[in-house]
Amino acid sequence: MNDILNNIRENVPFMMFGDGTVYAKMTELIMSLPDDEPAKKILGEALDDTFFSSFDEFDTKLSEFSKLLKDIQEGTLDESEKREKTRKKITDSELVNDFVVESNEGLNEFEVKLLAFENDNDISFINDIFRVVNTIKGSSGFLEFDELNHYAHIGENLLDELRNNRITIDDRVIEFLFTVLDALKKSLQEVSESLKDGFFPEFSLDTEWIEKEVEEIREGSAKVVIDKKDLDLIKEESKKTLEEDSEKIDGSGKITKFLKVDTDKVDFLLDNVGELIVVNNMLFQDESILQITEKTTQKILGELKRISTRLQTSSMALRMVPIGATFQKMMRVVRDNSKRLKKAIKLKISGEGTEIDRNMVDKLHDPLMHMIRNSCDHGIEMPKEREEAGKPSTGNIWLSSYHKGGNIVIEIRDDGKGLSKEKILKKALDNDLITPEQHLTDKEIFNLIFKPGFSTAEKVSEISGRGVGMDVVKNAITSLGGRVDIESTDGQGSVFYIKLPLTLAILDGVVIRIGDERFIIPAQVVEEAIKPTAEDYFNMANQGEMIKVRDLVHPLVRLPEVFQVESDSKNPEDGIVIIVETDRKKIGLMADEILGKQEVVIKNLGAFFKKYDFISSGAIMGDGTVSLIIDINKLL
Amino acid sequence: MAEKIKKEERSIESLAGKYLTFYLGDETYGIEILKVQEIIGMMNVTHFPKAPDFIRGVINLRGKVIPVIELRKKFNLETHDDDEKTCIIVIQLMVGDNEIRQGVIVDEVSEVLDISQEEIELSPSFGSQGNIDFIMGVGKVSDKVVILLDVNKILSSDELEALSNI
Repeated sequence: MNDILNNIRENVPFMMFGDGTVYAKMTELIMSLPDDEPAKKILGEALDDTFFSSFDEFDTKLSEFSKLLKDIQEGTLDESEKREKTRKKITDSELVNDFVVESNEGLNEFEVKLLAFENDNDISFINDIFRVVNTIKGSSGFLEFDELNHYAHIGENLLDELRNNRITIDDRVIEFLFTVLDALKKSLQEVSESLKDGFFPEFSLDTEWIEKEVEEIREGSAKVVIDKKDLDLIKEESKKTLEEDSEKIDGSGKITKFLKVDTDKVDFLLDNVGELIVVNNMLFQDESILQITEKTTQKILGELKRISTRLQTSSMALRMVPIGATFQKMMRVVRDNSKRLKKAIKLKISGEGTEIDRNMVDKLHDPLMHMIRNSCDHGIEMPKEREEAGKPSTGNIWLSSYHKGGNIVIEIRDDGKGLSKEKILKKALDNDLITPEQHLTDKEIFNLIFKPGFSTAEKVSEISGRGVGMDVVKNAITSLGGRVDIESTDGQGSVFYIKLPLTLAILDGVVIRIGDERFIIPAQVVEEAIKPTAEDYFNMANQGEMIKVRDLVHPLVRLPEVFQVESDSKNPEDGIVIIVETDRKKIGLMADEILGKQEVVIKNLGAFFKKYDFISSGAIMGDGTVSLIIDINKLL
Repeated sequence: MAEKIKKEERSIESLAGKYLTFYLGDETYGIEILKVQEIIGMMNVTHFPKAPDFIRGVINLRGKVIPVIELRKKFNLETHDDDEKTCIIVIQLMVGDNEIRQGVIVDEVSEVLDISQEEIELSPSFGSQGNIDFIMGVGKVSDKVVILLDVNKILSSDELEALSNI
């Protein structure tokens, strides 16, 4: 070894820029080093680096090379440096990216199947999991993620024994599978992150643990006979899984084929269809078109309209994805939380086929998770408490989704203790959210939990009490154009209804008029519109203008003045006041009149008007003109 | 000194090319044809609250909402009512990595002129008051004087900075 290194060293002075003979000779020398010697790889790369550097850099690289050689010979190359030098570059990032995407899909299936097993004890899931891990093992081997490959390999071995009934499935095995699942997920995240700097990731996999655990599971497991029916089922399943790929069989036995498309392409298509619809509307409102009496022309126009509408509907459907995948993730949330809280909780899912705008899916995950956690934590009681109340010790949470009146409703129902009005009121009073004189309806009391900084939990638990309140949930839902409503019966449970628009592209708006201008206020923030009398309006010292609605007073915002628009009404009693609910409080907006409620297509205003944030976006009206949508939270 | 002359020559060189010319009052202006997306007739413009004077508002350009700038106001010229010759030139520009589309209201569109290097003079410097830096130069084509505008600078530097910080 040292001879070779000496030999290499002797050759260093002869290294000249671009001299192929010396390069070949040195390569040969380096190659003759033993394979398990880290210096081989380090030197090999440094040599290439030096020879293929630019002319300007050559001198620097050459001296770096000599220093490296010296360090190796004297053994002063420390571990971290060694690792740094041996970091491999990812050559085909596209391939790695595909690997991450596919494996993540697989792991999601892993999780779903594993969670399902906990409920129905159907052991045929092992085959599916085996297939997922097997694929990860194969691909990671091919991509030279050796550590991941090794980890997956050990996991696969155990799964193989499981599916051949050499090991029984018990709680320990299930726990083991969950840990492996999380470890694989984390590794994929590491791979995905490594794509950013282009070097191979350093995995945080605990190989020692998995080796030991597998060994112990093997030893601890008695040879147990599984009845033949199950065995046949497994065999059948394993045959089926091999055939299944991108084809899925739906309920009617029809085969649906899937095509992966770049989202940019879909967006481009949708943009153009949107334009087509706008032009269509303009065409059919055009005076001269309306005057056409010629039958054939009318027929052609009718056809055009029909096809355009069909095109719009079908392209809108491209944006939609089933909510099921998001619901499935909640299974895990409930499982983990029920373990941690030592409560028995079952999550039942329905309506997972309901489709929602794909842009909403990601934004829905966190608020949903939060609400589910909240139900586990504050809704469902401890088993003992439940039994005392005459309920089954296992608590239930029902998560469902359905269409209702042009909206999508997500319902989170639990059979826990329900919201305590007394506790909420006390808390709200303590935090100065309300005054003792205020008389609130049940609904208003429940809605107090969405106020910033509100938490009714008597003790701050590890899960729900991490400083994120329900106000964050509400804001997230509102930003999606939705709203949250609560129903609760003391001792019987609570229901949270999340009402979402079908798509993010369309907004349900209230059109108001100020002078010659039209503006739109999102309908979900509008509480009511009132025609005040002069007595309802007064000026409070330090607080400015206020408007009184029944026994409550709200700040009054004179929209015409804020927007510097000429208006017809000089005082609130001349026009109309719209009560809207902002993040923090209710305010009254003064306008001339309400023109109506209408669904409008939301259009981004782009960077140009970024600093005028009190206008969130534009909307194209039926007559082709633009109206502006007001962001009420930015008005004050 | 020699360096400075060289620099000027280079920019004159880069100014040569095809320009879309239009009228604003008695003057003829030109903007690089490559930055022009289309010319559309005057349409209903929605006023944008609190925006500066020279921003007339927003329009619906086939389903896209874009801002429209009133060039007369921007150049402190007397405004007059729109007539059948008034039109909007839609220009496309890059600010940082963002592509921005905006409309510019002008009195009347004239023609496309090919202006060669010899016909261009760089903008005369009027001392140090620098709010005319949106003028790149002046083209003299057969007795006609065309003021060449830098579309990227029609917005003030503050406004552009606000845009590029996104």
